[in-house]
Amino acid sequence: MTPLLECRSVTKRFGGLAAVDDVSCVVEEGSVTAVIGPNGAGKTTFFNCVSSIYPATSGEVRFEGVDVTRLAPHVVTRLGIARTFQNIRLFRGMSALENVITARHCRTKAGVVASLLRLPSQRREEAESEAIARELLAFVGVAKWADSAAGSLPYGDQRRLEIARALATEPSLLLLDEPAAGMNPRESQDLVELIRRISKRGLTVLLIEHHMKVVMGISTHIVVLDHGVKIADGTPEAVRNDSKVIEAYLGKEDVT
Amino acid sequence: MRDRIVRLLVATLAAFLLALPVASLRGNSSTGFTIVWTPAFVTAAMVLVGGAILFAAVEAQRRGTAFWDARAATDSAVGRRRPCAAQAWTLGVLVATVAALPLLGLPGAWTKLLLETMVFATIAVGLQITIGMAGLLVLGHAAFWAVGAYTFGLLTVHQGWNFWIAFPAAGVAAALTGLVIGLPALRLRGDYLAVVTLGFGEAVRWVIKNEQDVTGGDANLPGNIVPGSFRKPMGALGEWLWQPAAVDGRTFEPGTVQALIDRECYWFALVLLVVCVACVHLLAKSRVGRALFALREDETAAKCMGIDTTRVKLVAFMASALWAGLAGVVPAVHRGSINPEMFDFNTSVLFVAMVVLGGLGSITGSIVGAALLWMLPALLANWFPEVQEYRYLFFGALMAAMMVVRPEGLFGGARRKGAA
Ligand SMILES: Nc1ncnc2c1ncn2[C@@H]1O[C@H](COP(=O)(O)OP(=O)(O)OP(=O)(O)O)[C@@H](O)[C@H]1O
Ligand SMILES: [Mg+2]
Repeated sequence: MTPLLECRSVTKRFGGLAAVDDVSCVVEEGSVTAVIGPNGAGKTTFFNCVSSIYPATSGEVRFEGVDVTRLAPHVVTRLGIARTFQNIRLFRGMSALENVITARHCRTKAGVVASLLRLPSQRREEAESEAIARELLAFVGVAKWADSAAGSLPYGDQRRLEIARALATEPSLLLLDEPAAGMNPRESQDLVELIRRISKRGLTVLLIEHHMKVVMGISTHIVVLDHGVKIADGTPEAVRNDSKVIEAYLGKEDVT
Repeated sequence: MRDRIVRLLVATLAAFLLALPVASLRGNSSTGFTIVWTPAFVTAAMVLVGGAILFAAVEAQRRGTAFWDARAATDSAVGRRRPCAAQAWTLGVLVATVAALPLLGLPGAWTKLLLETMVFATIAVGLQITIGMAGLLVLGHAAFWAVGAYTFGLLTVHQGWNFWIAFPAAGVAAALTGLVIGLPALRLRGDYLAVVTLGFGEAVRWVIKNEQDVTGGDANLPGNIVPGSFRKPMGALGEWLWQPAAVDGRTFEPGTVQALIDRECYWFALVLLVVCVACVHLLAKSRVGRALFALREDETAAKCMGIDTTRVKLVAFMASALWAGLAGVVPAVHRGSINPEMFDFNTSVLFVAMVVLGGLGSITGSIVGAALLWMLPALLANWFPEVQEYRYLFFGALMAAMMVVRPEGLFGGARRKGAA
């Protein structure tokens, strides 16, 4: 069976710097895969290549067997890869609900003419989008903010809203870039719970995370990057005991 | 509260000081200088009064007694507040009143002024699509207006097309021009886009000026070089449908013809404005409108949410240009001739000023902005002939005052900046 996502020798260079260097890995359907590594290891860059924000310099990203390396980001989203951002990128001036409805764009059709005439199909679509959006807001737990400007939400809720927005595109693979960043222990515990529920919905999750508690708590598979190079890849237990990982990532001495 | 009053006073003082050397100082170094105080006082008074009105409006809104709820117009991409019956009635009565004005003995000069204002309002509301909704700064919008006016003019003068065919053709031509200028501008944002569209606007004007044999150049269309008329009943349809002042076949008392033209064009402009407002309003609250807002908020995020930003930008350019093109027909028919100088850079700046003054994303704001920036200077020129030459000073002062008192524009959504 072809894996959901397969990266073959993905390399991304910025001038002389190879931010991602010859990384090959697979993400199995239904897994929760974590990408970890020290700051500047190239994790976000790797995500950007997968979501086609920029194409890999060389190598290949295959999603459901299709080469998506050089496709435009909105096409990749339509194929089923959705993401959140390390530095939250909500549509700040729009309400939380609008943010999520907007992400229904690639699953809806109404064009300018249908919108101006308010055709029945368009109305039905709008009502459906709103219902789905409200359901997602409730799912991630920010329903009470539905009508507030996204930029005015508390930090942790902004991260949750970003997840709801990504889910609205109906992805089969969800990329989360440091979803627990800036959250207190309670909030990150809730987040772990949320990711579990997302996984139960049948989505495959690929996440970047620094909080080891979060990573070890939910991931079924871990990929470790350091200086753009993949140094380990395996189950949480295997990675935890990998000497290269201990050295590069966790620091030479303290093993936590 | 006190803070606002202080800012208002500062703005007034600034306007006064600004007006003093530019508007009030007369004469030159050889004849010596004299100071005429009126223009400076008038400018300052206008800033003060205008600012106070704004201030009252803002204050009222803040206290929840929104005396003019504009934000409901477009800034919310999803209609949370459903248009209530009261609002619909108010609008209906307003439109009906404006429509009835010429019948109630509105003087010709006022008909003309209101007509022009409605044309500008149509263009400003259309420009909201690019500037207000999509966040693309277009600084050459007069060019689309010119393309509309000249397409209409050329088709009627050279080809003898019927009004009702030439009118949509003007819109289509402008929209296609929007598409053409949109393509190279796709990769640009902000200042760069502004500069490119500015250059494009000037280019269009110069093409019109230079292609004298076709467009009549500076000698107007129709004019000495290209004779003809926009106002003949053209083709079979012309006999059946309204032809703007298709007066040839009818007999009128001298002097009533212009009044008839004024009035017919007035109603035509009103209908155009109403349709434009309805379309932009519906667009804002639709899937495409949300995509435009998303583009303004964060282009990368918009792409990752599955929005084809290229396509959406082109739609914005075309939709925006369409209204300018359609609006170009009105002055052509009303004035009976067009001239490239009507579509110069100042006009483009004026359009942007209307949108910005009214507030990004607000349809009501654009209309009010158009009314303020077009009617006030004209009225001022009428009431105080000595200030006439200082119209741009007035603009500057008003805009400067706005930046101080209410940077988000008269009706702009305060929450957008405030939320940050
Ligand atoms: N657009 C860019 N242009 C140039 N260099 C870049 C760019 N993006 C990232 N880099 C560089 O690539 C390297 C990897 O960056 P990246 O953001 O992928 O790291 P990261 O693993 O996500 O780190 P962090 O944990 O801090 O988020 C860094 O050295 C960074 O400076
Ligand atoms: Mg990162």
